[in-house]
Amino acid sequence: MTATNKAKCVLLVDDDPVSLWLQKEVMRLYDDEVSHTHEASNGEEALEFILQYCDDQVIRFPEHCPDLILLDLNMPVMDGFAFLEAFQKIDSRYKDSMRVVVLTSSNNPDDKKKLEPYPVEKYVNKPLTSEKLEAILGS
Amino acid sequence: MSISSLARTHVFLIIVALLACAVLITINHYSSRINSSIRAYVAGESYYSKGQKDASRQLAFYLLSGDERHYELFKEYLQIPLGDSIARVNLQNGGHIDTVRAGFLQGMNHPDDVDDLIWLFKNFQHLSFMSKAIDIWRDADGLIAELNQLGKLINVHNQNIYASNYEDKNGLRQAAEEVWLLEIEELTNSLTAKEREFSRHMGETARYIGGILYFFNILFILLTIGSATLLFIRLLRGMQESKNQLIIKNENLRDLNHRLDHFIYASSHDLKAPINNMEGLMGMIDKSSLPKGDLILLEKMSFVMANLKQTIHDIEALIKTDRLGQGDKEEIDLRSLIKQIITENEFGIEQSNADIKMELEAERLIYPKIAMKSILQNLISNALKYRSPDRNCQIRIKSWQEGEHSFISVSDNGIGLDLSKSGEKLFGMFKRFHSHVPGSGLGLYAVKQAIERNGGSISVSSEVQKGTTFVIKL
Repeated sequence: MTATNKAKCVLLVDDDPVSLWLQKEVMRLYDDEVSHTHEASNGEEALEFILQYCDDQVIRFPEHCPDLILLDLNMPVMDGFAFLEAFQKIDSRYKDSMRVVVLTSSNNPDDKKKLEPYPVEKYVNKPLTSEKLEAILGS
Repeated sequence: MSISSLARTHVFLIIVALLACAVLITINHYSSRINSSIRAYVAGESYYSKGQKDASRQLAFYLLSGDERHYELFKEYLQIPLGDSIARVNLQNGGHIDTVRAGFLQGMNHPDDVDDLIWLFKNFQHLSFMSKAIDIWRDADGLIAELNQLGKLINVHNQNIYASNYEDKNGLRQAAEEVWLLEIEELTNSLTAKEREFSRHMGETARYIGGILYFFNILFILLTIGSATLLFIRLLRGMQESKNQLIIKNENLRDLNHRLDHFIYASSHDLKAPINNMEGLMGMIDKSSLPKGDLILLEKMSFVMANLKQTIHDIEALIKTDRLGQGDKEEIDLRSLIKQIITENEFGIEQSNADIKMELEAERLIYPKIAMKSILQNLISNALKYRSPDRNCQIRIKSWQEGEHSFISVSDNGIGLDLSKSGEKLFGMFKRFHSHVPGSGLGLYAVKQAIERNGGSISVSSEVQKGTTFVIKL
């Protein structure tokens, strides 16, 4: 567990509580790199959380501003794709510091194609293992 | 409309058409016989008339000349109308048929016509047209009888005047002869009038019957055509109905199929999340702290999970191939397709230390690309899965052309199969022959489906511990 980056804040976006728990457990193994994790159960909640930090006037607890977003695709209310669509519209001053990695159980190639227009850094298949997380954090 | 009432309408129309035909045939048969008989009567009448005129002339000669030969001729000629008279009387009084026949033959009627003459009389004598003709005939016969009587009188007269002791008192002979001559003329004229009346009446009757026949022919022909047309229209409509229903049923089936596919796809998709969670959770278990028994259990659980995952993957693939199996044919560069598959399976291939070689005589194929990719993917991954632990995995992919057909073969040097045991079941659904490797048994089934859907076939040859070869004919 090499410390390659400064401490990160990760936003986990998934409607499945078991999946969220698993992701958090894996995160715990890298607690020297990941200082904070937050959860959102759908795209809308995730967006709300992020938008708090997209305003120069209000910067509260900057250590809680997410650097990495692990995004599930299949969610109610607002799914991964809709989230990304809205995420695109955020001012690049704030957007560019947030990395988006899609973490999904679907291996449908159509889904991969649909993600092309969005700034998704990686496409990772569930379950999230420590090797996979290391690869994500490492880059 | 229920089937039975529909059938009843059809049967009804068929019966109407058949009946109309039968009536037509009957009407025509009888009318033609009637007309033939009428013609026979008209012909017979002309013999009657000629006979009567000849007799009258002979009688006149006899009266004037006294020559007995004229009297003989008179009697001879008169037999003709008398014959007809005999026939008529016997027909009206139910006399013996032979007498009737003899009478008509005496009347110089053609022997072939006699049956018709009798038939018409017997069957129609009470109908107005026939009874009127018979009346005229009867009147004429009466006049013939008078002529006959006159003849006898003249005969007696002549016997007297040509006897040796005849004396003509007061020119009686002249007077009597003049009267008789007049009578002969009158009778002849009356008879002629009757004969004409008979002829004309029969002619009118024939025309009248012809008219009726024409009318009924048209009527029943129209009826036949009408019911046949109705029947035809009904049948056509019935066929259209059935065709429409078939189309609807087809669409419903297709709909159902799509919905089923969608359901299965959605279900398998939904199953992935919990499976991935299970995998993750199992991965979290600290194996180093587990007792040996639990470790084995954990291993087996992992194996089951892998199996489950593979099954779902195969189901998805199966549905995709089912849907896309037909697909659009395109030109495929076989070499680059295989290279693509190798790249996508890089990890598995490296792990198995496999060596994949291509010997492609036929480099270009016309085939649906997705189906071909799926087929080759399946066969290659099978070859990798069932490799032998004793040697390096070698996979040979060949392609060649035989006449119109292209062939592809995928061979490996893996553990092989005993085909005498597995044989046909190899390509069956959910059939597996090795339990130490995870799999659902759907792969080869999907492969066979895709190949056969595109009009080809697949065969396999294998030897245990030597290897397996699949040959695809496109």
